[in-house]
Amino acid sequence: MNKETLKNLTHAHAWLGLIISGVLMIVFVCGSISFFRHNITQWDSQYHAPAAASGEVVPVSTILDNIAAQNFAIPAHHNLLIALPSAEQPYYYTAFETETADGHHVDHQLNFDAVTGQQLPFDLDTFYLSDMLYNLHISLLLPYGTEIVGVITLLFFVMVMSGLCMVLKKMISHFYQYRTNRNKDTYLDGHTLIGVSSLPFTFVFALTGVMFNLSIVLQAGFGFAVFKGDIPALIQTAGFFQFPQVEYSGNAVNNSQVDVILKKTQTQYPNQAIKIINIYGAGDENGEVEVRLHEQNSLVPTTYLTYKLKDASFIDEYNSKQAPTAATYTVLSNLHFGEFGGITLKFVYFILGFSCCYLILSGNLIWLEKRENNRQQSKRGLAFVKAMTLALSTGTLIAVACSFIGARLTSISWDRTELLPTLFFCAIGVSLLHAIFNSMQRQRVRLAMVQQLFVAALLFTICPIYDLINTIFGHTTHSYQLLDVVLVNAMLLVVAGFCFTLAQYKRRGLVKNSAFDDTPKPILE
Amino acid sequence: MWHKTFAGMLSGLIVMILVPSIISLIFPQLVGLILALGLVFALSAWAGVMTWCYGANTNKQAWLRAAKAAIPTIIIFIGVFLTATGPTV
Repeated sequence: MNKETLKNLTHAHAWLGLIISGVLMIVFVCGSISFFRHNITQWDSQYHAPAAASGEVVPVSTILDNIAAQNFAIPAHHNLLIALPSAEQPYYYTAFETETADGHHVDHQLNFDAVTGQQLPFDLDTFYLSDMLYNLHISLLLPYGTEIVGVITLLFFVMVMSGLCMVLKKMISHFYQYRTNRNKDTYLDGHTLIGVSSLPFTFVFALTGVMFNLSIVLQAGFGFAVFKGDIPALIQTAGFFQFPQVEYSGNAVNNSQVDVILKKTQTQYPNQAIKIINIYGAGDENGEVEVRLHEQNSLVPTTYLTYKLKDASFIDEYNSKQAPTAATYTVLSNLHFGEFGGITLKFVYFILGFSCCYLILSGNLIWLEKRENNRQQSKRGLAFVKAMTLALSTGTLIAVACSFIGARLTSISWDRTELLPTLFFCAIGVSLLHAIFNSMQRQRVRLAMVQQLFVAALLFTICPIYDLINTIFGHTTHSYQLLDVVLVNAMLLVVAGFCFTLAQYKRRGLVKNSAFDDTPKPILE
Repeated sequence: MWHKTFAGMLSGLIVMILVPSIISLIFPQLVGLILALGLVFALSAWAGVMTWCYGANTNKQAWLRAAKAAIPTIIIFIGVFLTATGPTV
């Protein structure tokens, strides 16, 4: 690769990084935290969740009868999802959609006691924090957010490739190089070291990010070019699971056949766990039951079995291994979510996700360092980039911390789908204003960064302290949620410790001549 | 930068869709496998073509690189599309 090409790629790498850094930072911070999505839901609901009932678990048919007694208008081709009680969630969770007379769909989510079968006054959807963080990760909670994140991910993919081209020749010989005498070198060496070390991870994330958000373009183009616009034929060829298409017959059947189906399935597949069942046309002669078997520590973990509701006869078995496209999609998805391992793998993914945040931040700092030495550079433009970098690095952390506090301290009666996103974006806005105010006064950006890091550290410790005080004053976390509560609070404390350490490090001025290093000494030292 | 971005994005999109389509039309019995490989390689090719265009010295060279990737692909696709039967489901 000639020098000119490398120079062009470096130029593109720097500018693309700067342009997409804001969105990418939110995507990576929220994505990293979303590895603990289920744990956060349990943490969020710990003061309201029902206790685990002891005794014999009632059969699924009892739950179906309870739902049927409430006369919900569930369309036959829509699923009635039932998650069976487990050690992590010791009650029946059900979710379904009803159709109103004017064709609108309304979501319902009901929980039932595993022993008595009675409906619980508890709605998991109330605890919106984990869903909000995940939605921020995939769509930024914006209209057309999925497409925006898709394009940003494509540009991130280009940055991974251009970065690889830039370090290709020196990848091995300079791998351990970490110069600490000049800040520009420290940032650059850290950027390269972490970038090269986490390359397989960033490659998978860039690829799967494009796949999730933009593969619809490939699907549509391929469908028209090869299948002459016959998209259902393309989907059939791709081999994804086809959901049962059921029409109501009007003849009622007993739901007890579902119990027979579950017993039969568990006998046939003793090594796989039944986690979820979906019922189409519940209580009707034409109804079908889809049982999902889950195999632990597998890249293709789910097997779908379909049965007839009226006589429990077997219809079909599906596993995405049967079709190359579906299998590839499933494997890549599992590589993205880190679902094929345990808690250790999730922590590794979490740390790798945050290391990508460091890549984004250090990339911006290298850009700023270079531009600060350029006298022709617009000072106002530079101040804006400094403020944006600050708001979208420490500001995002503050916003996440505020969301956790909002979820923990506000009343359950408040609508969290409105409250938490407002808190999140307001926190980023305040952080941006604080950064802009300080960047206009030149010399004070580094101090602003230290202040914001201290604030983030303080905010991240509030929820663990609150939980600790409650525990001291007699609150007992349900045993099935204990691990989740400890895990999430540990994660919050780790992030708080990271913010505090970095703030101290910056405050002491250990790193000199950084992009934010122009704070007057008397203020800091 | 805008020229390089649009040149790369457009020609990368054409290459990403049409190359697996050409192979699928020629080998219709392997369409499932080609689609699976396409998820990895076609999407990577999109980013690859964009990177190639960003490596260009000028905007004109970026558009030339984009044309070099896209035009032969389009011509081959039209030829194959008009002659091959393609998969039947």
